[in-house]
Amino acid sequence: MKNLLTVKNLSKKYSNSLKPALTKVDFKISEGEMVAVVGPSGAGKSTLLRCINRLIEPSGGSISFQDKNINLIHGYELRKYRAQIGFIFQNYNLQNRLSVLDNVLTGLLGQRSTIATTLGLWPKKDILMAKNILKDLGLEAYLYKRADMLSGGEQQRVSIARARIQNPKLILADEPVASLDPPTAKKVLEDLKKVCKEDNIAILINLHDVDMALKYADRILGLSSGKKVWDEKVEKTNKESFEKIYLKK
Amino acid sequence: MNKKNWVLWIIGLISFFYITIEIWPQDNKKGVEMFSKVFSGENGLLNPEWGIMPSISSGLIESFQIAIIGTTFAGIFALIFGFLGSENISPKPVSIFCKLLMNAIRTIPEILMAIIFIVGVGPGAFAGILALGFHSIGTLSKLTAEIVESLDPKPMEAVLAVGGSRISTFRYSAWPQILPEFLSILIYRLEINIRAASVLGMVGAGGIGKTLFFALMSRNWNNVGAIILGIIVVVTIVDFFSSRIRAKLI
Amino acid sequence: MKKYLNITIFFLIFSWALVETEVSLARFIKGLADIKFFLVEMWPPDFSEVSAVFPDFLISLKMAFFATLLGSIVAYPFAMLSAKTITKNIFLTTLFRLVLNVIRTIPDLLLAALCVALFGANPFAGAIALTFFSFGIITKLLYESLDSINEEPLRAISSVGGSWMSRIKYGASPIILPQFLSYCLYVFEINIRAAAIVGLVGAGGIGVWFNVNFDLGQYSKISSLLLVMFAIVTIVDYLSEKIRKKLMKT
Repeated sequence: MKNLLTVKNLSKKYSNSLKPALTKVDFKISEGEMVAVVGPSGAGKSTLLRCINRLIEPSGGSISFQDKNINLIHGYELRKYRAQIGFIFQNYNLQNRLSVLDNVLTGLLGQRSTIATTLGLWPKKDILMAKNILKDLGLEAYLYKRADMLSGGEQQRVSIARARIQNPKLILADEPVASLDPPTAKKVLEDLKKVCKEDNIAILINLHDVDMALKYADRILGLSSGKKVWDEKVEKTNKESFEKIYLKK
Repeated sequence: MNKKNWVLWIIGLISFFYITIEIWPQDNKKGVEMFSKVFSGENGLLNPEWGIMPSISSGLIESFQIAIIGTTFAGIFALIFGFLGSENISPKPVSIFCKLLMNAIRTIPEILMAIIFIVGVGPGAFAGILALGFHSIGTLSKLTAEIVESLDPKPMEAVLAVGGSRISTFRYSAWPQILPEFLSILIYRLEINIRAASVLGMVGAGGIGKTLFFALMSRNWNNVGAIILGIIVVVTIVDFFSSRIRAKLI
Repeated sequence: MKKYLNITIFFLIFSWALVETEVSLARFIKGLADIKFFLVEMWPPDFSEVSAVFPDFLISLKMAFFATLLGSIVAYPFAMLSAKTITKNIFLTTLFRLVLNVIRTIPDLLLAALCVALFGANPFAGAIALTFFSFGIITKLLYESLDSINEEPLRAISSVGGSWMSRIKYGASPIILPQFLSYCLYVFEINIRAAAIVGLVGAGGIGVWFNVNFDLGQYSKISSLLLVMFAIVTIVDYLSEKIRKKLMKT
């Protein structure tokens, strides 16, 4: 599998805390690979994800995407980079008052002309693409409904559609199922897995449920107190390995 | 805790009685006499002079127009000042200055503004519009700034994450949050302004106020009753549509 | 598409009003010259007679206090009777809400003018007018809050045979008290401003000075009055906000 993302020596220290959030984290992700990040709360999982698309600026280390270093890009280049990466938030972060269809279309805001989108002019093919993706996820009944009228699980699946329309190479998912009940969580994770395998999109997903991580991921990345403590294929990982991750100080 | 409450209540009640005694009108008998004369009987408030309804309707309509235009103008400027005065979008010194300026404008009563504008553009509806408009900018800007300050930044993060520009973030995340609430306070302001417009005419700023003033001065209680009724009708209609629209906005 | 229809309707109404009230930018700019003269006269503010104003300012404060206290005491039971969660009789709640609406529809300055015509140009008239005003606001705010409280504690009281009074005393009051006090403070704030304004129609307090100075052409004294009022209102706003924040925490 071809290498997609290389993270070397990644460190992050927030100015208002004593301990660094991330310390010299190293790992690689290949195309189409699903990697689960696990670890206790406060281990730095959210920070890690947000450093990759630079919603948070790293304090040190380097990040390369498709063999190109992205630490110093900004402005137009940064937006173009982010357009290739989808982000799934724990709280879905949909635009509550907009319709489901409009929400999915916002996924293209990094790839279409600002003037046209500000006027609300979307090409027909974009609208068709959004509708098809929603149909594929079984959400076509909600096309014109206000986003906040959907249940939590449905909103999260809309946010997957929003990520999907970007045609990304990588999707970052920050505890996407933490606030969902088990059957709904299962549906969301299955949709993510489907998107990963069918469209060859790499996924880096934060999970706190170790069973889910074992079930869906190809590889497990363990983080504890900002340091990488585990990095193995899922076949080599079992319950005992998790004890090591969660108990390490 | 309870004892402190009791003490406060007793102090409150004593001050209340003291004040009541102080401001009670000296000539109490006259008050009672006036009361009955004004309210009861053939010439009373409660027996409105229906005949003047057609002639006062133009005044009522003018009050309505004053309120609509004044509120709309205020809304446009309030949007600008609201953004300028918000602490999360605007630099600190600008926002503080704006907030103080708006507070200063709010302090000047509409009636006083009406009088000043009458000096400027002459008596009539235009002065009323300016007075209402300027005064409303004060309150509306403050409320708009509060709306902007309570924006949820998380959906805005989502737009940045897909590579959207700042303009797109505003257009697709901030604006949809702001617009419905802004319209809601604007329409609520209309409810208040239609009441103010009816009264501003008393100093000459157009609308039904002038007619009301004459009726009050000449102690023509039948007419006063009719005019008050007319105002109640207009205000109720505005209130009705206003609450329907505002319910849909949320 | 409904959105565009609404916007078009609004524009039509707006343009019609604009034309009928003879709004014109030219007139405004011409008028600015006159207003400028006015504003120049108002500056610098003349504080020489400010100390003479203080007793009347105290009266305004007392009016505000009186109105808030009386208004809130009457508002409390009225709100209970209008709240659907407390009073289970739909007929009663509808009736009381209707009466409340009628009272709230009358513009407050109109009420003040009416009271002056009834009781004479003294602070008592202003105090009564403000009482109605306060009553209207507090009752509405209170019953809207009551409508959204958790009904479980109330049901618990009913299920053990508690009466309507008990539901209020043991169920609703403990929950709603901080909110109620917060509203009272808010209305007190408004009343301080309103007390000055009703003075403009003669109902006592500091507003009367606005009238007097205006008639005498002593514009610089008016600006000093405004500045004093602005300072006081800002202080009261600030203190009241702090106290309200503390109340909401309990």
